[in-house]
Order: sequence, then structure tokens, then C-alpha cells
Amino acid sequence: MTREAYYAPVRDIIVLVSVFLLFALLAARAAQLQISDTEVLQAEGDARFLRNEQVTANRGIIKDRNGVVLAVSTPVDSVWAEPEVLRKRSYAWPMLENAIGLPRDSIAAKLEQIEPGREFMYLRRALVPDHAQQVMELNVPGVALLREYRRYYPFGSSLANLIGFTNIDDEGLEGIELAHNHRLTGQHGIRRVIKDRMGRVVETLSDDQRVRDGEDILLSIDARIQQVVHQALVEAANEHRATSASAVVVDVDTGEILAISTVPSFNPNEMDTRDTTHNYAARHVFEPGSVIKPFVVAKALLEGKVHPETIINTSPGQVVIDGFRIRDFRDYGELSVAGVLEKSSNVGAIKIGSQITPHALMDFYDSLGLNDVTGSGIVGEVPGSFPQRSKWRLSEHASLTYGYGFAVSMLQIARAYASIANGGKLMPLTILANDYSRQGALVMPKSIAQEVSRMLEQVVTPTGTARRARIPMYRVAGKTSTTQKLIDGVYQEERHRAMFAGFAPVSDPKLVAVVLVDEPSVKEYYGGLVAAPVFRNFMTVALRILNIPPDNLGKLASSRTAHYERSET
Amino acid sequence: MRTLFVGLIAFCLLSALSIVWIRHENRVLLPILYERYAQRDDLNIEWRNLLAERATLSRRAQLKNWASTVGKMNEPDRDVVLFLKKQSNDWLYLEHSQ
Repeated sequence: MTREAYYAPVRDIIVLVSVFLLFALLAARAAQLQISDTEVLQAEGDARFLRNEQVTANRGIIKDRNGVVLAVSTPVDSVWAEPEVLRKRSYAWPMLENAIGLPRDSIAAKLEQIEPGREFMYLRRALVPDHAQQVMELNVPGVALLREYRRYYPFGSSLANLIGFTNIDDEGLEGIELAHNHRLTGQHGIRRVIKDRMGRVVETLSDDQRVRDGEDILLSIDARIQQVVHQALVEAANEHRATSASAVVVDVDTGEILAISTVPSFNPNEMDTRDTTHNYAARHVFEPGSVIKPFVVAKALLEGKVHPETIINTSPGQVVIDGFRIRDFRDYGELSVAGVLEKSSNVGAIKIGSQITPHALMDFYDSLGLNDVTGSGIVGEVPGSFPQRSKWRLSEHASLTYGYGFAVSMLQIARAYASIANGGKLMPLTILANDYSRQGALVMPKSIAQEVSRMLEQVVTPTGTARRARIPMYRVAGKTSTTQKLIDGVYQEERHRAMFAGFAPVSDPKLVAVVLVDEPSVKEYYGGLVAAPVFRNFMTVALRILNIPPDNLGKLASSRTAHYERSET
Repeated sequence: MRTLFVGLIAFCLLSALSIVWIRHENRVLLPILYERYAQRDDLNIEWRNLLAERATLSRRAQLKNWASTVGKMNEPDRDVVLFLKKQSNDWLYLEHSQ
């Protein structure tokens, strides 16, 4: 037999075929896994390596009119964990306890509370990035960081009532943060990535293009003036032991709010002290008292009922209407129209006001915007509150002229005074810079506005009620008011509001301001004594800050002048 | 026919290799991209912190305190203040307030 005889071709073929079949089987299985059963495997693979990462958008910055930052989100890292993973690794809990200051019992409690199947729980929120990095260096499986943002307010309490604050998720809860939340909030994005065992990204599957940062907001506020105003209010509230003190400063021509502040305030950087109740200047309406008298005079001048020279007899310093006795501080005798304002005579105001019908007076107040919101865009701003009458009793008519029986806000008073200051144009107020869409309305002719302005300047003379509002080197006009508070339907003898509204410089008014001190001490409570000095204190600095030229340098100044030839350079 | 066949095979190989090469490039470059992202975020953080710091340092009370202690500055008395008044484009008018 030859060697070949031992080889049976059949066996060769069998071996070949079976080897081929085995390979074919493998190939078929591979194909099956790759092509038909992909979902199972893909899911397995994804679960191990695919991650949805949040791309966090920045919340917009709030700035003042000069670009000074008033609120900015600074990044913090929140530590989070996958509950299932962390639960199995109780050895790591003490390490975490040291790193993030979370007792191991409460880690256990947190894990206990979390419902099964959840893949996310916060361990500790808002850590400083450096601190958070230390936590990551522990290398505890299932523990990771999430970039979040915490709001920081460099000016603290002085702007807190206006700007408000955000919650821990960086959403606006109060003030500007709330009102403009939709603009400030950015759009978070999701990025799908594949990560390797070490947590490095090896492939980006999809990048969410919608991610965008929030818009910055530019306020009309001037941070420098705001701080001066706030400081003056803090001092006044302490000195007079007042329950609160508020002020608003408005640009006469544009209606832009340059400062608005209320004390007591709170520190928005500390969550525990946050408080939402005080934005007195925008959110409270109250009986304005004597600050309303210039508008009664303006209306009377408009209708020709009085002239600047008209003499009004205020003797005997009191009147009785419908059984109510209305008094002046003392019997002022015969006063000019300007004198009625200068001495703040109630009797005089009633006599002037009685020549105008209550409806005409109400219509005039309406046109001055006292019944509306001012358009400032401040959250929670309230409109004025006026009685609706078809028939007015004499006492109700009278009270309209000296500022009782209706309620307005400080913003509305500031806006109405600005219309006197700028020659009769009522501008809507705004809290935003570069807000040019607003249109003013003429509410009185320029001549009347200037006449009233001249009278108001007399109030701020050594003989007027607001002598303490005088500012060196500037001409100031304004009006004080002292009202009793109405509590449970009774006017309180010992609880007052002291107020001053005024503007400067009179020759070309730039700033109008309203100051209100609520419940100053019983000893000293007159607007002229309590509120007027606050006005002077912050206006002196504000006029200098804004580089507004003095218009009252006096006679001595002009006698000592010198001419200089500007050196050519 | 034969050259076409060889050409197609070569093309096939070339395309396969280029895929491999591009995926490799992708893996090399991606970490760099993410490093850049991180860098951008870090700079953004620093910028925001600087903004906050600048605002904090420019607070009025802070400046006033600095001016009076370190800078040894105080408000001039009124009788030494000079006012420069712009009279026309060529002349300055000096006023002395007392």
C-alpha cells in the first residue's frame, strides 16, 4: 500500500467542512450580535461608557449704569453621588465626613431616603472649587462634582431691596433677579460623550447647540450715589430710632432711577438673613401730606384761580369742616401763595384748593400719574389709592388739598416732582439704563412749573420749613411733610411719617429726590427736622459725584474772580 | 479589469486606514479640546471673581477709608475751593467761593 492509501479524502473533507462550519457558526453568532441583537449590547456598552454631561450656562451679570457689577454668579461645585454605588462603599463615608463636613449618619440617612433606581443625589451643594477639588482627590467611586453658580452681591445690603436674590438653583426669587429672570437665565445644554475607564472623554456623540449664557442687565442705578443714599439713611434711622427710612433719587430729565434704598435692609449674600418685605419706596403707598400742596397750587395757577401775588388770610390758624378741626402749626396770618407753601399752611392750602372742584383736582392728580404705577419695572410696585366719589363732602375735598384721604408711593411723588423740575413734562420712570422707548407727557405749561419751582425754593430758605435741606453752593427747591399714621382707622398722635421731596440745582434741575423716615422718635418728628437733613447729606455728595456745576456761589464769589488764559498745549 | 480590481482594493484599504487614522486623531485631539474647555471655564471663573473683587474693592466706604488713612486725604474747606467756570472755548473763569 502506498502512503497515499491511508488518506481517505472523505475524512479530509469532513474535517474541512466541520472546521468551516465552526467558523461559520462563529461568524453567524458575531453577525447576530452585531446586527440583530445590537440594542442589548449597545445598552450595556452605553451604560458603561456613555454619559450625558450638563453644560452649565452662566447667569447674566447685573451692572449699574457705569458698568459696575452689582450681582455676579461665581462658580461653585456641588458634590453629588450615585446612591447605588455609594451605598456599597460604606468604608468611604468617614472620608467624606472629613472632606465635606457631612456626618456619616446623615450620609446613611440620605441614602436611606433616596428611592431605589435614582441615579443622582446631592451630598453637599455650593462648595468653593478648591475645596471641592479636595473631595475629588479622595477618589471615592460614585462621587462626582457638578458645576453650579452662586450669586454674589458686592454691594451687600445697600442694593438688596432693589436687586433681590436668587435661590440655590440660581433662579431669581425677588427684585430685579425675579423681574428679569427670563433674560438673566441662560439655556443649559446637554452633551453626550463616551468616557473611558479613567473618566476622560474619548468621543463626543452630540453637542447641544442650544447652550447660551444669560443676558447681562444694565440698571439705571448709579452705585456711587446708591451707597451715599444708603449710608445717609442708615445714619438717619439710627439717629431718630425710626422703624424704617427710604429714599429714591431720580434723574429729572430722563426719569431714570439713580438710587432707591430702604433701611433696614438685609445681606443678600447670607441666605439666612434674606427678607422680602422692605422695598418701601416702590411697594408702599401712604398718605403724602403736605408734599401734595405744590400740585394744588399748580392747579390753582393753571385755572387762574390764584396768582403768585394773591394774599391768603390763614387766620386764625385753624378751620372746622364737617366737624373736623384742621390746624396750622401756628397762626400765620396773611400769606402769599408762596408763603402757604413756605410755612406749609393747611388752612391756606384748603382755601386755595376750595376754589378748584374735587373732580378737577382728582383729574390733575391722575394726569400727574399719582393713580398709576410709574413704569419703573420694579417688582411689586403698587399704584396709588384714591377714593371713588360721585359726590365729595367738604372735609373730603379739603383733605385732598393737604394730602390726606388718599395714598401714593414715593416713586410717584418723585415722578410728579420731576415734572415740576423739568418744566412740566411727566416722564415714566425706569430702572433700566438705555431705556429710550419711554415718552413723556406735558402736564403743565413751563411757566407754571417754573412758578411753582420758584415757590418751592422759598421753602428751602432760612425762614422756610425745609431750611435744613439747604446745600452749600446749590439752589434747592422742595417741600416737607409730616403726617400722622393711620392705624386701625385712628390717626396716631405719636406715630409719624417725616418726608421731604425736592430737587437741585434750581437753575437747571438735574436730580429729584424723595426721603421718607417712618416713625421717627417722638421728640423730633417733623419732616423739616428729620427728612430734610438726609436729603442734604446725600444730595451734597451726589451733585459732586455727577459733576453738576454749582449755581449758587454767592456774591463774594463773583467779586473775587480772575481771568486765566488757557495755556495752549 | 484587473487594474480596476486592484485600484478598488487599494482604495478600500486606503479608506479603511484613513478612518483608523482619523479616529486616532480624534482621540488625541479630544482631550486637548476638553482641556481647552476647562481652561476657558477657569478663565471665566477668574474673570468673574475679579469682577466681584473689583466691585467689592471700589465700595465707597472702602475708598473713603483708604483715602483718609493710607492716602491721607481729606475734604478741602470751602474757603480754599476754587471753581473753574467755562466761559467760552478760549477762556476759563476762575471763581473763589468764601
